[in-house]
Parts: sequence; C-alpha cells; structure tokens
Amino acid sequence: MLSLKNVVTCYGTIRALKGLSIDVGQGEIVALIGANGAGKTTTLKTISGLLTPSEGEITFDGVNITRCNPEDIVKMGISHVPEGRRVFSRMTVMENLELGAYSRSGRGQGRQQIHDDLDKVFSLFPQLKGREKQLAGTLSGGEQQMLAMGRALMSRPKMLLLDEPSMGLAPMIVKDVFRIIEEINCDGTTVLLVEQNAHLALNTASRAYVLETGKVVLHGESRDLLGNDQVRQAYLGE
Amino acid sequence: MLQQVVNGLTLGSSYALIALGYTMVYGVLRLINFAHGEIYMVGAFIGLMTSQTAGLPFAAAMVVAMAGAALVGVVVEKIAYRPLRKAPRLAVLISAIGMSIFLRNLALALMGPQTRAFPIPFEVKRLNLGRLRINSFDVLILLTSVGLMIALHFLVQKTKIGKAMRAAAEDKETASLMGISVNRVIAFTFAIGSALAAAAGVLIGMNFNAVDPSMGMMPGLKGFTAAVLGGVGSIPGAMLGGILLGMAEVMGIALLKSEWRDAIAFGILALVLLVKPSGILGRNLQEKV
Repeated sequence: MLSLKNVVTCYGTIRALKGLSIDVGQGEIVALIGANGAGKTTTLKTISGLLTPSEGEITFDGVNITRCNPEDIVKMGISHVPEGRRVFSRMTVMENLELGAYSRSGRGQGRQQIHDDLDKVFSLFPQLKGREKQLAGTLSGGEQQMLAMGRALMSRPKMLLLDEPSMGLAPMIVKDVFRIIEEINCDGTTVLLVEQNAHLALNTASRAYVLETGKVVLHGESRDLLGNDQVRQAYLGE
Repeated sequence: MLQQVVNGLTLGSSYALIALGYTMVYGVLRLINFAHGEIYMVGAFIGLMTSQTAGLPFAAAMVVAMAGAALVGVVVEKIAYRPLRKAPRLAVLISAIGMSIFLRNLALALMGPQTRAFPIPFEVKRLNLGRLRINSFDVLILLTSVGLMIALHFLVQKTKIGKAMRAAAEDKETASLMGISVNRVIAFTFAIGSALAAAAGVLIGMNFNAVDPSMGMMPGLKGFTAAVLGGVGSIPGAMLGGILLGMAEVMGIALLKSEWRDAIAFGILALVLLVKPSGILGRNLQEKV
C-alpha cells in the first residue's frame, strides 16, 4: 500500500534519512522504533509531504507521491497525527474536528457523511463528548491526543501516521489510546506507528522496522523482534 | 462633548478598518505589512476613478475599489512576500518597505502629485440634535465600518475559509496536514485586509475631499498604532484599538490644539510598546525557536 524506496531527506546539509526503505501493507499496523534522532519523525514528515526527499521514491496505492504537497497527500488518504499532538489550542474541540474534514466536500451528501463521522469519532472517544465548545488548549494531554487522532480520522484516511501517541501520558491513558488504535485498525485503517516505547510498539504492531541514524538496521515480525537479543538489549532495556 | 464622541467614533472606525489588515496579516505571517497604507491609497484612487470617470453610484464604486485593492494586495503578497517565505523576517520587512515606496511612486507617476477632489456622489444632509451635529458622512462611515466588521467577524468565526485562517495563524504546518492550502489562505487574508483598507480609503478620501499619492502614509501609521494598541494579531483588538485611538485623538485636539493630534497618536504607540507591547487584547506571543 505504502512503499518508500531508498529515501534520502536532508535538513540543510544534514542527511537525516540515508536511503530508507520500508513497506506497509493494507490493513497492517507497522511500527518504527529507534532512539532519538534515528529519523522516525523525519520519516513520517517525509511521507505526509511536510518534508520533500532529495532522493528516492514514495508510492501510495500505486501513485508516486514523492513530491506532492501535504494538502494533496491528505486528499489521497494519508492522515498524519504529528508529534506533540498539535491541536489548534485557540479553537474549540468541534472546530478542530471540522478542520480535520477540511479536505472533504461539505455539500449535499458530504454534509451527512461528515456528520456521521463526527458521531463515530465521539463514540470512539467518549471523553470528547459534551466538550464540543471547549477550547482545545484547555484539554488534558490525553484528551488532546484523542482529539488529534479524532481530527485525523475526520479526513476518512486509508492510512494513519501516528507520531509518539504515548508521549507524556499517564500509563492508564496510554493503555486507552493503544486500545483505540487497535480499534481503528480493526475498522480497516492501516496504521504506521512511531513509538519510543518499543515494548508497547511491538505488542501493538504486527511488524516493525528498527531505525538507526537514518537507516533501517533490522525489520521483521514483532514477535521475532521481541525475542531478538539485539533489540532486547538496545530498546527493551533488558 | 457628545459631539466629540461622535467625531471620535467616526475617525476611530476608519482607523479600525485599516488596523484590521495589519493585524490579520500579522496573525498568519508574523509580518507588519508596511505597504498597507499604500493599499489604502490605491483603494481611494480606484474609488475616485470609478465614481468620477465611470460615473458609478457610491455603493458600486466602493465595491470596485475594494475588489481592486484586494487584487493589488494579493499581487503584492505574491511578488514581494511569498518568495521570501523561508527568509529571515527582517528581509520580508525590508521588502514590505520597498513595496510601500514602490506603490507610492507608481501612483505619483500615473496620477501626478496633485491632490484631487473627491466629488460626492450623493447629497449631504445635516442633522442637528440640539448642539449635536451629524452629517451623512458620519453616518455612512459608521454604518459601513460597523457593517464590514460584523461581516468580517462572521467570515472569520463561522465560514470554512475563516476557520482555515485561524488554523493557519496558529500552526501553519499542522494546518497543511488538514488539507489546507496555506498559500491560498495567506492570499485570501491579504485580499480581505486590502479590501477593508480600500473601504477606509474611499470613506476618508470622500470625507476630506482629497485623494493624493502620499495620502496612505499617515493613516497607515495610525492604523498600525491602532493595531499595536489593541494587540497585534487580535481582530477584536484592532477594532477596539482603532476606536480608542480615534477617541484619544479627538479628545486630545479638543483639550489641547489640533497640532497635537499626531503627537498624541504616536505618544500612545511609544507608551504601549514600552509598557505592554502585547497590547490590550493581545496574548503574549512566545517566539518559537
């Protein structure tokens, strides 16, 4: 469904991705794990068009999206939940969700579909219900993460890019968030997950790529990686 | 006294119209568009030409002036600011000052240096309520400004493009992840801000019966002062700042002499920048590093 081939992305003269190749199949949850600075966030930003690679090729559903704008990539069905949630804090919960549906037509049938999807988001994230008029900046961290995910779902994505969804959240809430990620995946949305917490990532994803300084150093089924000595030492703290 | 309040409101609402353009552009680009006063001048000229040469009625001349100035604003953004989107902010500021000088001299070359009279396309009525005197201009300026501000409020709060504007003002990168074309939102912001400035240009040009190429300088600076006073980046702030500045000027003239007018306005600017640079309704912006 999504494939990156030998992608190189630079910040100025610094090469953050040095020929990275990954594949994500329809309906999968795939995780990217690795230390700080390994290039996980850069990979997601390159996929969603916030960064443009200098070399390599990205295809989604058979279409080359290597040099597309972020606004066009959303329309093709990739929705990116950025690191640190980045909700529009001075706008209400409802306005945030409406902005998630910005790329869709709100006329005729579209209006009804958006309405249905709002209901779906509120049933997936009951914490948001009844707070439609509250400013997003006044929500707790966990609620903001849920809002950011709900907002991303409002574009009806085929694929969700999640950057560090557990960051800064209490363990109880992290559990909730990951249960919902699995639910979203069961509904047919493919998920590419970036996560510091390798244990959590490998227990959620079916496959994973281990990144080090802008390259894939290891990849495979999650359960194989969980048993891999190298991974256990470097990322699972054993 | 009541007369001064009416005068202050009229002057203030025209300042508010200009201040809105500064504040909206600052909101999305963190740029003080120093060519904004010249857009006001361009709007006044377009209004003058359409009502004088083409003989259009006032309302139509106003609409043409607003549309024309909106177009000029969008072109200015495209050629002077968009190529510098990733450049340091000082470069964009210098480009804005350059654009301001360019537009003023272009008007000078095309229209000549003389001040032109703005023939009034309707009959001016005067109304005396005891000692209070109100004429058609006061009413027209107040009604037009208030109407435009209500329309703007609706646009920004309720419409899809207005929400996109607010989102882009808060976080451009995330806005683009929503499918918002940030460049289009910025162009739209310039169009709206320029149209409001043109409305002010036509109203004031007509009120003072004078249009000339350098007419944008002082109102441009006053609009900027009003935006800073209200809190640059805040739309209600620009409205409030405009009214307060207009009131302060008029009251100052009544108490002192009319020569003090600009000193009062810029004294306020200096004072705000010293005491509370974020303005009355502005939030403390944290510079992102």
